[in-house]
Amino acid sequence: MNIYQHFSVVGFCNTYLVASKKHGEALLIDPGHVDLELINLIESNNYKLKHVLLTHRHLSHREGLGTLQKIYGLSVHGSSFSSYDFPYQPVDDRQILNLCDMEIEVIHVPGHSLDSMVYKIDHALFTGDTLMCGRIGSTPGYREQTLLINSINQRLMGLDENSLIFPGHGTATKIRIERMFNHDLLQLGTIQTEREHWRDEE
Amino acid sequence: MVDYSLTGSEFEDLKLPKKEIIASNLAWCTFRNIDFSHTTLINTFFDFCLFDRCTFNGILSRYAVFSGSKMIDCDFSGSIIIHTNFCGVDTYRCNFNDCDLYFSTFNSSYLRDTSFEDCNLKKADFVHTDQRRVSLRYSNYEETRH
Repeated sequence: MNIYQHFSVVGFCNTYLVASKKHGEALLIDPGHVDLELINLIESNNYKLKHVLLTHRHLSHREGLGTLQKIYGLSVHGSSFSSYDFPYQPVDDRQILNLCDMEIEVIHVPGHSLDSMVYKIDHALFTGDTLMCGRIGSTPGYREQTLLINSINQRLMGLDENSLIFPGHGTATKIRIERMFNHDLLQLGTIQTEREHWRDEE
Repeated sequence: MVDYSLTGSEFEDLKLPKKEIIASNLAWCTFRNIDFSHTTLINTFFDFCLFDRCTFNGILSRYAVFSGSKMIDCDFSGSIIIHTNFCGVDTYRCNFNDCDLYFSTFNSSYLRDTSFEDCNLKKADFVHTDQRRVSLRYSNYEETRH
């Protein structure tokens, strides 16, 4: 599997071009912004772009989709919890997709948004805005933050510690690195205490 | 050097200037007195390594990972180090002067006698860093997460 990263200063979003080493078909994860550099990346490697995977519905992660649809005939895959104004194929938690000669596992990790999905391809995790280098995704409140931390603990932290993490924003990392250095994940105890106080006040 | 895995290896007294190291895994390695000057590092993992007296002058680093590494007497000055992960590194007497560190992460790191003078630190992350005798003169530290 080959993974190419593309960063755009529009929305500061990472877009990932993923292709099998055997076939010329490729897929894109989170086409935040499409520019000439991304098109050159696809074309210079002679890839046939066939699919787009969306980690969640936020505009900064799918703004380039319209442009791509005009150039390539794409099938779009997004969370079944989302509703989009364009045709797409809904994916569910624990579903296995076979696209471009690759097996893709869908992992539902809510918190940043209800529809946040992580895609696991071999040892690579495309986490969108759920888990980034040294921090977790932003949340509207501490209850959502607790939900996100619990989801990450339950669904991602149990995976092989050498799994690579390719987030929607920022630098690449590994499960082991996040276990050791991510302060947001160390705060679980504090958040639970806050939640207990909130219950007491209510 | 593309798509190599050399985890846990030891390297000493090597000159690797102007090389390209791409999509490789060099985690848990030991590097002593290695010259990486003007090397291009893309998507390469150097996590949990030891770098002792290594020179990284004028490198281009993009999406590289140095997390959990110990760096002693290392010189990164004059480099473009963007989208690079230094989460949890321990640095001692290191030099990042005149570097572009756009979107690089130093989260949870221990920085000792290390200088970041005249650097571009836009969108860099210094949250939970322990800084002792760190110089940030002429750098835009206010544009970092800290």
